[in-house]
Amino acid sequence: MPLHLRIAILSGIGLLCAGAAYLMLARGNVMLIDLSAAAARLLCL
Amino acid sequence: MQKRVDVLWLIILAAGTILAINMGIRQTFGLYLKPVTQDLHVSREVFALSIALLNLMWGVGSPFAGALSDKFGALWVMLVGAALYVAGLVIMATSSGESGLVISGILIGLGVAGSGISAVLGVVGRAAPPEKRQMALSLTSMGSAIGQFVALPYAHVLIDGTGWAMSLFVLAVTAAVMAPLGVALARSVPPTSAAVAGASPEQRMGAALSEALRHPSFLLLTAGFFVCGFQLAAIGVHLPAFLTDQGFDASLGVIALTVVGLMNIAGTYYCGRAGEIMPKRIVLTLIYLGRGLVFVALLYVPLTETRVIAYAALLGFLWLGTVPLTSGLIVTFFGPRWLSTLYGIVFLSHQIGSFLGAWLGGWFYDQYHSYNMLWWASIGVSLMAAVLHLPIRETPSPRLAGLAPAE
Repeated sequence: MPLHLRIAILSGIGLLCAGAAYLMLARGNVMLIDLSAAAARLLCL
Repeated sequence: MQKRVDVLWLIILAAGTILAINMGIRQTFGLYLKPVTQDLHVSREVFALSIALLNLMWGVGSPFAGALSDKFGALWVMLVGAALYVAGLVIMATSSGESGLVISGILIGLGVAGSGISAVLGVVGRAAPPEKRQMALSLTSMGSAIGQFVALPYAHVLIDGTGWAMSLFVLAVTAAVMAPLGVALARSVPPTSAAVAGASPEQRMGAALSEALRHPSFLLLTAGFFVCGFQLAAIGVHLPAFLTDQGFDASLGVIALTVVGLMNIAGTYYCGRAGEIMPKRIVLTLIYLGRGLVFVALLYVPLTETRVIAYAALLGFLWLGTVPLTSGLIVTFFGPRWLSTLYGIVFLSHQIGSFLGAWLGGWFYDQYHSYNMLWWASIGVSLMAAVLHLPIRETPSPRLAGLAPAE
């Protein structure tokens, strides 16, 4: 795979993951409450 | 040769993206419990039934999807899988009551099975030359880890911003992307290309199943994968509640899950690649024993915030690395021809383990008001997994050895 394509793909994945990590840390408590309500009743693995 | 490698990169990219979408969207349904049940005025049990059916259809459907994919080619299985996935999401988005939710759960479960890991890994396993196969399976599995990590927070934002129904439409459009990717993937690798890799193309499915079910190492591998499902469910479902029970702020649970998700991406790749430099059964044994050590630490080492994050990092690193190693061992035993079918069978064992890990955690807590018994059970199954994996003979089956080496 050409180097520039590899860098573009890795950068895209990196940005996606960094955004997800930021959202987890910024909104995680609310998300966890929503999920724990579900996990208590579901086997949502 | 160069062209084959270039095509392989595109196959891995398409396969990884399909798995990221497939596994990522599935991960988000827990977020819909509250808004859906409140808006539609249905009980939480109905929504729970829908998600339980989703998981059941996923587990039961995987061996069949894998078998159809191996027998007739992955193209139609992936297309039908993606179509069912999209239809299920649209039905859920437009649902006005109980029946819609139940039907959507069934359709999405079948969609996850059809467009999921069994079919995709089979295609990648057949496409990759033996010397690149473990790397290809590891990278493809990493797509699944990325999807599971990123889907949840973005879906949460989407639900907040657009409402649950519109967010499901957005997810449906995202799921539809799997269809063209599946076409590209399936057309790049004809199912008969197994002959290139040294498998026996004339072996029929019945014979392949019979061979696998009489192969002691395959049975040991199947039993071992049960442990993987058990432990992941025990952690995924019960760790946040355990941490709050220990007096930690809920935000630590969030940080722990974030660390698990991030380390999982790296761990899936590196654990998979470790199978190239040492026997895969040994790597699998070390993964299960490593998880067991974390459970011992949860029981005996006083918890601090730093330690919780360190345990989360270790667990995350050991999370999905079992997938490329397990699929790699199946190829070692039998070649790639029936990989989807056989992985589907092994995966069913994983899902039974997942069910028990989640359910037993709740049952133990109700009985003893503590998660200690769950951690003990997790240590027990870790040791069981080590005992199951060590005797595995990492050699081709006698039939395959008589034809040509699989790897």
